[in-house]
Formats: sequence, C-alpha cells, structure tokens
Amino acid sequence: MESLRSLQEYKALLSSYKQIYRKGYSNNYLSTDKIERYISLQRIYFEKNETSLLFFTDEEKYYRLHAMLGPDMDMICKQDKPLMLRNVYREGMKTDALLKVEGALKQQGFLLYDETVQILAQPLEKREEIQRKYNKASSFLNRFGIKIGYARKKDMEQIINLRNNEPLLKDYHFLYETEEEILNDIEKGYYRCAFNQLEEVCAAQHYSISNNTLQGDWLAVKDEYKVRYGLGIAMAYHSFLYTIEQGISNYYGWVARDNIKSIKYHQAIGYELTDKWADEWLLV
Amino acid sequence: MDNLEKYNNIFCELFALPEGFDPEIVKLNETGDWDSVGHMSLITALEDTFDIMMETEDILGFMSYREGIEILKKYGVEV
Repeated sequence: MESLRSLQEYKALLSSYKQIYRKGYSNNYLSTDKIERYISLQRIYFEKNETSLLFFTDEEKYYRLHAMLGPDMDMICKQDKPLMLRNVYREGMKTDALLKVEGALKQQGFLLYDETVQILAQPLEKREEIQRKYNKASSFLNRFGIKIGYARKKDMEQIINLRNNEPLLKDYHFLYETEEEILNDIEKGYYRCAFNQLEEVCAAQHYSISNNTLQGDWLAVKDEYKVRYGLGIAMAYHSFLYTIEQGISNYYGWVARDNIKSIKYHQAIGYELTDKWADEWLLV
Repeated sequence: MDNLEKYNNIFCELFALPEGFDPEIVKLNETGDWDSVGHMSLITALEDTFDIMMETEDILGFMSYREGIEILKKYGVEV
C-alpha cells in the first residue's frame, strides 16, 4: 500500500483509472471532504494495477476498502488488519459486475458477515403524534429517575466505553474518530444520552447530519437498562423531535435483514424499510 | 368481564396472542411483540385497566405472564 498524500494525487489516480477502464464495479463513494480528512490524518492508502484502483481507509481496527475494479478482480488480498468492503444496491437488483465481484471476494476468502436494509423515518410530517409518544415514553422513564438529554464533554469516556462494550455493535460498524472529532460532535449535539439519577450514562446514541439528512450511526444501552425501561423508544422519539426542530426531512439507519425483531421494532416506532440493501464483506 | 379476562385481553391485544394461549410461554423478550415497546405499553395498559400505579421495582420484575399475576396481587388485584 502507498500513502495517499494529497487531493491532487487522488484526482490524478481517478483520472488515469477512468481513462483506461470506465465500466465495471465501484463502491467508492468517498467525498472530497472525507478524502481531505483522511489525508490530514494520514490514514488513507492506495494500490493499483492496469485496470483496478483500491483505496484503503484506516479505521484503526480494520481497513475499509473503496474499490474500483476492472475485469481482473484478483488484486484484493489480505492486509495486516481485517479488510471490510461494503456494497450498496437496490433490493433484488445486483448488477453483473457486482455479482462478479462477490464471486471474486469469496475466492479471496472474504466472508459475508452482515446483510442490512436501510430504514427511513420522516418525522416532520408527524410532529404532534411524536410529541405525544415522546411525552409518554419520557414520563415512563422519569419514574425510574432517568432522563434523555444531549451528551456533555465530560460524558465522552463513558460513551466510548459503552459503545465499545455493546455486544450488538461490531468494530466494523465504526469509523475512526479522533478525540477532538468526538468532542466536536458532542458540542454539535450529535450524541444523545440517557442519564440515571446519578447522572451516569446508561445509554448513548450517535448520528451525523449532511444534506438535510440525519444518519443514525449506533445506539448502545447498558445491559441492566435494556428492554424493561423503554430507553430506546424514548431516545428514538427524542431524536425525531430533534430532526423536526432542525427542519430535517429524512432520518436514515440500517438494520440487519434477518433481524425480524429489530425490523418490527423500528417499524413500530415509525420507520419504513427502503429498497436499499447493503452487504458487508470481511477478510480477516 | 372479570379480572382474568381483562388481564388476558391485554396480553392478546398487545402481543397478538390467540385466545387460549399457553400462559407458561408468555415472557418478556421471548414472546412476539413483548419487547421494550411492548413492555411499556403492557404496564400502561395494566395500570389504566386496574387503576393502579406500579412501583418501579415491580415494573422491572414483571418478566412473565405468571410473575405479572403475583405482582398485581400486591396492588389488591386478584386475577
């Protein structure tokens, strides 16, 4: 792997790849600002041959692979960390190129470890209903002395510990963030917490916002606070009220396609399934 | 309608259970829709129906149909 040193280098690599081979497969959706960020952190690398171009972003515990592959698809191979590749496609509409890539990935030893479907909520249209449901859920929580609110800087360590110890969340679900970036997100209100009577964090949630869209990243709940308190529901409705206040139209997330319980739960609180599916492949 | 019928109706309506369901298998997180959404709705429905307000420890301890019957007794509700 070679380090990517500048945006100009990235553009030159893309340009030379496209001149040689325009058709085929790509899962590279890195935006300019993301490229610049990874370059400044010195966490982006590349490999290339005559018809293919690979970018690796170093997410600390694994590399995320952003690939553009020509007809010879055997250049992906093991690295010093697990390698994760994510394909997004419309339900039931895998292209020939994607199918060919999947065959190549299997041959290289990749395992399909996660299959997800996108969920979407549009809370702007249901303000009164959501307010009522939030009032009910938070009133229930208040009986246990638990409150929902935005994270403070001092909560950062508890939030990270909670996230890292949540068995339902895998390392490959997280992108690398510096402490400064986490604190910035806390300041922007992108971390929501449930606090018990001792002001300890018993649940935490992270999301990001771009283009009038909110993307839910993860939710972690301490074991002893799972299920019986309705924490997840209260946090979900609190999030919906936030999107309404911000005038955000769409609130997206991803759930495992075979997790019927999770799908039904999200539908019960106001999400719908979209036709976007994602497969995540892992080479360890 | 007696208390047992009211109690069973709540479970049937909230968790889509058939009439004559087996009460031994009705448990939190094991029965269909009895998840965190269902649990909150169950407690609220029971409190409204029997005009009681449960203590938090009883809400947390309400993990099955059978345990629920014992908990309601503490509030003077015989099912």
